[in-house]
Amino acid sequence: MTLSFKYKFKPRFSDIDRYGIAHHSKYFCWFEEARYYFLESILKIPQEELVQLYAPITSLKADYKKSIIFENSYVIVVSLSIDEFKSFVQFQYEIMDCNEETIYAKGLTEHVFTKSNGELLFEIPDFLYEKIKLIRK
Amino acid sequence: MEDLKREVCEMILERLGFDDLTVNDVDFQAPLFAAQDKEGIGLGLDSVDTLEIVAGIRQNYSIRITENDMHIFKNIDTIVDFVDQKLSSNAS
Repeated sequence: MTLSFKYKFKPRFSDIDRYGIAHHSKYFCWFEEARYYFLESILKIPQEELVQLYAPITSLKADYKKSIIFENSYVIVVSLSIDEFKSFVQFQYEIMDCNEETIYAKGLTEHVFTKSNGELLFEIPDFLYEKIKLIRK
Repeated sequence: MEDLKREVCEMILERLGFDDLTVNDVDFQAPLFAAQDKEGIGLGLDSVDTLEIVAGIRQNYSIRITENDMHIFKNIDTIVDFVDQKLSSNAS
């Protein structure tokens, strides 16, 4: 089951390195912003529930295709993949120009779920499934 | 039971990407989480790997493993015993 959405952003002055392009570490911050936007605005998980959702990253990756510059705005196309026979979820990210013609970077993060004490959950929380199913209808 | 043992072991090797190993290479009583040392005693798995095993068992045998069943992750034999018991109790 896959769910896609878009998140727009504009680099800040502080995102740019001395080469005049976005520093490679910033891409992961934008991925995170997009992910939280998805959880809050698309899945409509309230803040009080969100802080109790422990979904640490177990894998992350970025492929840099084209440099991001300060002057432009960009869109991140995010796809959430959720599989009943997996115990983790995967977000895939594509950073594109606002016309979605050029890919600037591709990335992914994988997340497991834990209790607040760090104990691993063996299954993806039911409420997450339900929220996603609801949106897909 | 031997068939089940091989089947579970194959599933584990496949899901964890041990492409260079076959069932015949695996010691079913080797501790799952001990590091793979020079003598090759442990399988060197980590807690995230257990999630793959849990998901594989759910998919192949429709058996749900909960956090309370963590004790089954000692070695492959203990996992197979658990699957065997669940399959038997589901059948009866």
